[in-house]
Amino acid sequence: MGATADIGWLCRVAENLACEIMQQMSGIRLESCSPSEGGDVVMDAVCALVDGDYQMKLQFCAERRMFVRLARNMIGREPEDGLEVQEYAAEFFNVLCGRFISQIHQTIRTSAQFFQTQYVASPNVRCLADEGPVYTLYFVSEQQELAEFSWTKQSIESLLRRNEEK
Amino acid sequence: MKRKIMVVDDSRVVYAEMKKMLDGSEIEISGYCRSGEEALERYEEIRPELVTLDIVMPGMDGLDTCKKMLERWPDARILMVSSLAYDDTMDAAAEYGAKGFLYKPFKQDDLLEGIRKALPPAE
Repeated sequence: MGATADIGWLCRVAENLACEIMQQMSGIRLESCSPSEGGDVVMDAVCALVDGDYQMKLQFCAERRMFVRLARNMIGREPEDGLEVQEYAAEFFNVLCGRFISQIHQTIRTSAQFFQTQYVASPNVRCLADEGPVYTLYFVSEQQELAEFSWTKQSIESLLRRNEEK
Repeated sequence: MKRKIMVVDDSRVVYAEMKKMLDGSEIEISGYCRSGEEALERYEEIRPELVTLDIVMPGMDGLDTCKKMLERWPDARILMVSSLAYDDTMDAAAEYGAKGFLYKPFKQDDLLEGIRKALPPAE
């Protein structure tokens, strides 16, 4: 089976993937930070649904200027419009989700698909607001832009607990 | 003479990134399709030397598209491209006849190497 797969492991995987993929795709360097540095910053979000052996909703929130910079760095010019920014943000998140659930699969041999990637502009970011308890990781970039990566707890927590009991 | 590939991915971002990374190389994108269904409709018209195929797409997914494409055109060459790296997905793709698997996010060198390995020998 490999590594001990508990919630701590999952959070470390999520943190490493978010930083690595953001850096590789856009050159933006993320570092973990504490939630108190976030305050009431207005953020946009990309959200996705995972379904299969477990169900999970995921969300990556960031200040819009981070998403704009992500698109600008990837395209090599100023994005033409907000739609172009959203497309690049969605692709970043698709890659992050794919790698995240692949890592879960490789370690605890369970399968799921992700779909319905959606970009939600502030101030209406409520993708996970009514989904129960969530895990959230907090990040800050080298240009002091704030970001968060969140996922719903319940289904994946049960799966990890069952896996530990084996 | 340029080597011709067809890109199949629902994300225009992937097409744009690939185009940028292949600029200046011996490889050009002769067709772009946003779904498996469109790829099967246009393959005969485009007749690429290689198809890069995303796995997670709305409608027909990449694995199904790979299987159907190789059933209709057994000499087609397919490189699967995805961030979803399940062993059984990769095994299934290889069993259908895909020539390789490229993980997202990929760098320019990875893309060039993956495509060059999957292309048929130049005539």
